[in-house]
Amino acid sequence: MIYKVSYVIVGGERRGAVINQDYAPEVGAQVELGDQLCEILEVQELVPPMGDFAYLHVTCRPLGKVPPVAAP
Amino acid sequence: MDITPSVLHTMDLFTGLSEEQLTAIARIGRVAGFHRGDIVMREGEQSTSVYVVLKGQMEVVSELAENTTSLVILGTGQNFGEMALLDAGPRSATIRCISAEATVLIFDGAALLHFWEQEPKVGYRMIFNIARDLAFKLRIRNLTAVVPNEVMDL
Repeated sequence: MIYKVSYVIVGGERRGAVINQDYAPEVGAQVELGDQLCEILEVQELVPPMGDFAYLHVTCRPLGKVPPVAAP
Repeated sequence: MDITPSVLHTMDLFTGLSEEQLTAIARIGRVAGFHRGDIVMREGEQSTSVYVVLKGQMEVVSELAENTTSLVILGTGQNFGEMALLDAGPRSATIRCISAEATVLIFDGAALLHFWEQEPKVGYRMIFNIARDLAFKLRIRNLTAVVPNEVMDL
C-alpha cells in the first residue's frame, strides 16, 4: 500500500506537506518536513483507499529544526 | 536514477496504468537533479511542463505582493505544474528545492498532450489521476482553512 499523506503543521513556519510513503504514519512518531522536525498528533482517513493508494490527513506540531548533517 | 515501471507505480499520477503503458510514458519524460535552493519553476512564467518528484522535497512558494509565503512542501510522488497544462495560464507559484538533493521527472506539456492523443486510454487515466489529485488538494485546503495557524492547546 502507498500512503498519500497530507501533513498539516499547526503553529509552524511552514504550513504542511504532501508525501507518498510506503508506511502508515502513527500518532507520536516524528517526521521531517523540510527543515522542521514534527510530532504527529492525529491521523485520519481523508477519502477511502483506491487501488494501491490510501489517502490520509495528519496533524502535527513542530518540535524544532532538523539538526544539520555533519560533514564527513 | 532509472525510471522503471516499479518506480512509477508508487506515483499516483500513474496509478491504473499497465507496465507496458508505464514503460511508454517513461520514454517521453526526462530526469533532472536539483540541489537545495534551486528554483525549479517561477511564479508567472509561461510553461506547460509537468513535474513529478521522484526523490527529495520541494517547497511551493507564493510571491504575490512582494510577500513570500510558503504554501506547502511536496515530497516523493507528488506532481506539480499540471494546472498550466490544463489551463495554459502562467505558473501560479514558485517551486524551489529544499532538500539537499532532489530528483524530478519532467514531461514537456506538448509532448504529453500528443502522447495522450495517441494513447487515449493512458490520457484518460492520467487526466483522471490529475483530477483526483486536485480534489485531494482541495479537500486539504478546505480542512486547513478552519485550522488556526497557531499552537493548539494540547
